[in-house]
Amino acid sequence: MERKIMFSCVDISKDFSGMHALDRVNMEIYEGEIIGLIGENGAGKSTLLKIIMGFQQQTSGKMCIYNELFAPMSTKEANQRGIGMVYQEQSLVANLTVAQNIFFGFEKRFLRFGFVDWGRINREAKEVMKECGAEGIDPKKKVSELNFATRQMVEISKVLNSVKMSGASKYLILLDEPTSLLNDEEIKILFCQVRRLREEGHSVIFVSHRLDEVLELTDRIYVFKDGSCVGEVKTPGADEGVLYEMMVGRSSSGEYYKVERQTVPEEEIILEVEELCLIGAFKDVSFQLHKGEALGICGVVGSGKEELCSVIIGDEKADRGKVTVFHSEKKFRSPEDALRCGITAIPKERRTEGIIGIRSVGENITISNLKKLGKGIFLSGRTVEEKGNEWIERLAVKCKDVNSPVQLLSGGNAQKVVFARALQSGCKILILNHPTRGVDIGAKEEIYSLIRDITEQGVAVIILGDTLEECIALSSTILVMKDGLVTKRYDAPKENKPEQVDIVRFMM
Amino acid sequence: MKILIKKKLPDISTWIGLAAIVSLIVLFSAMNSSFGKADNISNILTDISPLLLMASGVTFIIVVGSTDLSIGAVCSLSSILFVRYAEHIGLGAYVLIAAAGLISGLVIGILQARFKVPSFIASLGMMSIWESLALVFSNSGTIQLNPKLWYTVDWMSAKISIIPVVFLAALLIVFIYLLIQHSTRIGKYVYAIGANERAAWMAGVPVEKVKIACFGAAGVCYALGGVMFVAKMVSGSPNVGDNYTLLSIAAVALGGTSMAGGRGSVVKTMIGVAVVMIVRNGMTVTGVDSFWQKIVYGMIIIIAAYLTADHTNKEQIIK
Repeated sequence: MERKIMFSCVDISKDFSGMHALDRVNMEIYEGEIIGLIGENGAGKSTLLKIIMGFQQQTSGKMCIYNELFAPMSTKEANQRGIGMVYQEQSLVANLTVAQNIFFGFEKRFLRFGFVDWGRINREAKEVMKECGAEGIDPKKKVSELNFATRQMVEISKVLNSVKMSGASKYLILLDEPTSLLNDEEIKILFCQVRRLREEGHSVIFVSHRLDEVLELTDRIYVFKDGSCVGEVKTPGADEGVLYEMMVGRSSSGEYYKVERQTVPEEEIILEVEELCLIGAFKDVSFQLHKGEALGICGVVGSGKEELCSVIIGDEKADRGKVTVFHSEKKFRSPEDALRCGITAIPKERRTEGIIGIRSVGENITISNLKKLGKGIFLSGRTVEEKGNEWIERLAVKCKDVNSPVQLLSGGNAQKVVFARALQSGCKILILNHPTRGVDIGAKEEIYSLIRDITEQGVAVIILGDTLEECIALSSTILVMKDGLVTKRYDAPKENKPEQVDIVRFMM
Repeated sequence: MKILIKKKLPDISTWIGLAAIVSLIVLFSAMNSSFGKADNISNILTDISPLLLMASGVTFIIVVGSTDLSIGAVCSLSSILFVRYAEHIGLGAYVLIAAAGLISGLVIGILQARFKVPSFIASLGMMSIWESLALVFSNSGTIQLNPKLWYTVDWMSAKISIIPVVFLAALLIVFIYLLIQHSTRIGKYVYAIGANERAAWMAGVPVEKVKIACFGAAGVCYALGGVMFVAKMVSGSPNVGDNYTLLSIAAVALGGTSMAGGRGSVVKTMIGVAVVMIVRNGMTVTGVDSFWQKIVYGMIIIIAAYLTADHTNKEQIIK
């Protein structure tokens, strides 16, 4: 039986103020097919998804659904044609219930004498979730009470529901990094659901930075690089090496984490934490940080590691305990105080805490260091540009120029700007809160090199890794936290790294 | 080279503003021949000065992402205080009212930055307090400046050719603001805080201090604005500043400074002030009723805020 082409793109291009985000991309998706979409950050994956969903319109080219022209101007229009998207950062409204979220925007259907019939919404939400294999979630629960994995299920149910209401017989579901916040068990459930969609004849576009997942799940893979599609691979027969090479144009190596460059911490203690306590988050945490040390803190969400970092950089105040920096006791009231002592952080949420989106690359890079860059009270705009250009070159940041707003940069490049900001501040202690979150493999590798560079220069780093593997590989010392307590401390010299399974025992 | 050219040219909103000024001048000159006379120009410049000062002050507050409704009240109170206390301390009254304005601004700034009271509410509260104090100090009426004390404000009414000194004084303060905006780190901080306060805080920007300083400096501007009215009318009045909260914010918005913070400039405000004052003076010269004038200002502020609103928000949802 001939399979029908469900969705196609022909020569889609998108320009952003002179930069090609997409360059003549062609794509065909058959009914009942799972397509993998991979590429480095800034390769154009997100832009393509945005165009398909009607968030943005292409500069040239066209899209078709079953050979019928498709030119959505909004998400709603895309939904009406049977296309739905599950976002990387979830789009649920946290203070509404599960059922309210699923039928968000469709309340009109449930009106009874002008009022919403919540009972019926809850019943139907239950039905919808059952169809998606997510039974067992109480539709009356507020989303804020659910954990991330469950929210993801709700999100998927919501998207499926909204395309179902379109009446289209076959759907196309876009999944943008759906697994980044899930654990292995949850990923399995998600994959089951995706495969079920395929069996029913629907199609899925799956975007992920984890190549193993892409290889496991998809039928066909499109590889993106610098805004164009550099290859189309049938999944059976492909392996990570091949994909990796296509994506970055250079071959992967075993020394991914640059473990051989790991430094041995020096004698000098530059930060000492004694019996630090923040009520409701962590208790009696003590550790020492040496010059040139990379201290990894492992623990599940809720173990208190995030809050510990917040206290160290002065974003939150400890209830008890002592923090000694360079042999003098400190009580930081703000990140400004911490910065003065040479401590700064790469925050976890890049878009909201890391970058100042509408301001320029140069301003972002210099903002932590203006006091030293100025002459007296004055500061020339040119100094800011010069410093910005210096870092753009050093870290190979891809941007139009030093004056373009950071929000136009891709995730990986924006993260490099945040790093440049921290390094320009001349910090002695750098806290890396998920430094490679939402960053592609190429940029990740560059960031790993950078971390090695700075520890070689004697900067001490505290790492909250994106994955356990990353945390182990990068750190020379590892603290394991569970329920707000430090449960284990490992030395992790480069020759003798602890095993993941051992660490997990102290985390769970 | 390309970058150089781009940097020299102001953006479109500035050009629109300048075009508006020119066309308004042409329009009002055509409608009333006295509009373009030296006397009227001198008048406009004198009239424009307090607004220029107050709007410059509030510009930084808006760029930093806050707002201030106490502008007019501080201005009125300072006119009263000046007239009352010049009797006792002569020129020292300048220091007194500057201090009063500073304290008023600092209070709002501290309430906002430290205690997280929305600036809208904090300044609304202060507005009520200052308005009432102005009435208390003046026995709810205009008070005349003792002719013996005219020397304290006379210098402002002097003219160099047709340019009044008071206008030059206002320009000087605008210039200081411009210097801070362009060539100091505080300027960079102001924009960073307005654009993303959380990120600025995490990057070690002294968020509280900068915000409090913006409010404090603005308070001084409003108070000096009050003295300019004393110079013009040789009296203080508890409601002289009433219109100026609306006018100042209208001027800032009209100049193209974003009400959401992070974007804008004192230069834009200057253009906004010029447009507002020409509209006002033009309406007066052509005999438009003052009640109708307020309707026009109200519309200006809404349209201007609409034009500068962030319509690109659509993009950020997905990120």
